[in-house]
Amino acid sequence: MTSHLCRSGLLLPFLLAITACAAAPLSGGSSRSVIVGFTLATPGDAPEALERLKKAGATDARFVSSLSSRSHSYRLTCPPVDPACDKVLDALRGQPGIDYVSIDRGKDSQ
Amino acid sequence: MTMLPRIGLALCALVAAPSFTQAADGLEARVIVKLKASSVLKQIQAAGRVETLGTRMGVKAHMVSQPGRDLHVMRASGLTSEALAARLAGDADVEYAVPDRIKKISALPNDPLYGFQWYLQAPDTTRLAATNAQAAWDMTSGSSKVVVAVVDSGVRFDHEDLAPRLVAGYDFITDDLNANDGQSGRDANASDPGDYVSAADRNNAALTALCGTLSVQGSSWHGTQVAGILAAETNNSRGIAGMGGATRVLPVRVLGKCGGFDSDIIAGMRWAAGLSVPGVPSNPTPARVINLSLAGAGTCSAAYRSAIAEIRAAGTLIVAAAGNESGAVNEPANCPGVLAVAGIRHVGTKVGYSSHGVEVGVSAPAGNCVNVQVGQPCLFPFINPTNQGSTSPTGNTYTGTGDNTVGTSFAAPLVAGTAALMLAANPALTETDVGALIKSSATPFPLDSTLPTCPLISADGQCNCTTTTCGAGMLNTGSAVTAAVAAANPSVSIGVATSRVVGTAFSLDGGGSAATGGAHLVAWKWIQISGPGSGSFSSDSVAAPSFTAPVAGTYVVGLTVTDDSGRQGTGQATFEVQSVAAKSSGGGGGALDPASLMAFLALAALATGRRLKG
Repeated sequence: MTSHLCRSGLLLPFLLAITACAAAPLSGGSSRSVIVGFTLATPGDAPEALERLKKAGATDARFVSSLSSRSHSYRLTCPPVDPACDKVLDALRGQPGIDYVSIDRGKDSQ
Repeated sequence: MTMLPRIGLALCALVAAPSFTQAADGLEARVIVKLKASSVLKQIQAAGRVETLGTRMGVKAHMVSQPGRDLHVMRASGLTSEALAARLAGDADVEYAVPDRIKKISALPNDPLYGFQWYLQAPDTTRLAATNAQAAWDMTSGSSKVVVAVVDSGVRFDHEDLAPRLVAGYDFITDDLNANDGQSGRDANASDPGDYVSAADRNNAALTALCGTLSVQGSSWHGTQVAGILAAETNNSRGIAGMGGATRVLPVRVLGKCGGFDSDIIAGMRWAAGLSVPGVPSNPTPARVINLSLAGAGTCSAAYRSAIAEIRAAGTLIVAAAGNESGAVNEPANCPGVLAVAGIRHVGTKVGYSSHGVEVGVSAPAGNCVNVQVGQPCLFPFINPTNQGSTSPTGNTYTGTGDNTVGTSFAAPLVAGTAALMLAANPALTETDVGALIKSSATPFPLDSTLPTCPLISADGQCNCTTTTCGAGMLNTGSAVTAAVAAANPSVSIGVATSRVVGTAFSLDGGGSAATGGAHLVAWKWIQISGPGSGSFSSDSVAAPSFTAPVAGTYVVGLTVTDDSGRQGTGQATFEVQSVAAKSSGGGGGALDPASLMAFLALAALATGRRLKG
């Protein structure tokens, strides 16, 4: 099965397409879908968890789903000066109690 | 005993006994043995090869037939076919050795489309990559206790060739547009409503914001196809045969319109393995194997690494498709601890579209069409259960025998199904064991001189596989299950007393032999395999008999142990018997004494032991 995402990427100009399939989240614009791994069990939708994400610089953070008691996915909205959320993610990774931050990427049937 | 009578006895033995002795226990072995391409034995005639191999194994063997150039059927007396095959398998000149069993006509599935499932059949000169599942099914028909999770697009629970094999799964798709099932968020219904993209979907701003640019396309029924390869009901006079026999499938829905999110896939993987996911009921039927026929570009993320470590610690094997990008292995197949599966053509070379790289563990047929021109049928596709609906489900059916049904998605469930058969044959195997045995039992890749060697590829992406680009070899389901069965058999350890003198009983000790998986040894059978004279055991059916040799020289004895499930293990020990006692032994008898216990144990370690199928 051909990847829907990659197939669409082939239609884009080269510079845009070359990395689209590799790193692009299913979200676009100034928001990012991320998976956050905490070092301790943390309710994903608890206000304090969301507050930590905002402290890293996100203008908004929305809980999406849980993977486990210590890992959850979120939709981050980032400031216009950080359209790829790079600064927010770096700040998040530097916080104590955060084990990892991964981009919530898309997968397709093969 | 004085020296003269001893010498007299020895002389009598030399005259009376043949130089080659064997216990007459009524067993007859019949084994198919193939020589390695590099074997020096190929320089002699076929009958001589068999006799030479027999001598090496400590038995008198003769050839029954030669079904192939390097393939021989041999017979020998005094041991089981399984025992002889196990011994031969360790010989440096032998590529493989398997018992030559009697087959019944009913051994082949009666599923009407089975003839088109070339990838399950025995390999031949045209279809080198066929997995020989047929041979595995003679050893196990699978087990309903083994559950394999298909983490995919869900399944059609009403497909008649699949329904008996399905257990209730779960739908982990969080986003409602992605899910397309009319239900809010995650739910307990893992059925596949269709993953089509319509013209309306393409113009749906919310969906395109989620997925990016969309192309109109029909539903794939991908999870149903994958589940069918894995476990379609076999021998039901309907459709196809499934690799895993009685294996049950746990459908975990994570792919919807435009694919799926890592977060849903990881949550589904964890749940499939029996781990908890907040907000989701616990899984009543945890899977021993997870099949991931999905992929995406990118390196292995920390999120996958963390979950995979947890899942493996829970004892679940993860099998993943390498990807269809022709280049680097995709995520999650490229994650440590995942058994990544690359795709090969029917002839065993890498199929053009398959991703490849050092992360691949094994290769398996993925389907290939061979010089298809417009309007011509695909020649080596998969035949899978599917649905006729182009959007929402309608009637159930199968993919066509000439359809372009190919992809590493379809190679992965062949491996997952093989793992399930192995676990049915030997439930004590760990996920590490299963992965290791699948690799070690794989068939070496063939060489096509017209193709470049991977990672160099031809214009259409083909290349000759190597172990650093396509894994350990071509999936060999028959050999993998054979290895799994052998691993369930008891191990044999033989200790031999350090003082061994002609005419004096000395100790043999098989007490270090052990059953596996909670079984217990119930029988011991000792035989003399070779020696200059015919020795005697105080009893040939106890763990630790004494042995008396009539003549000095080199003796080989064998021990076969049987556990309470009927499984057998065999081993042998080679030792010298002296004509007179060595001074260091104090000149006493050969019975095991405390002073020589340590040396005894050291000798025990030198004895060879093997496991074999009972």
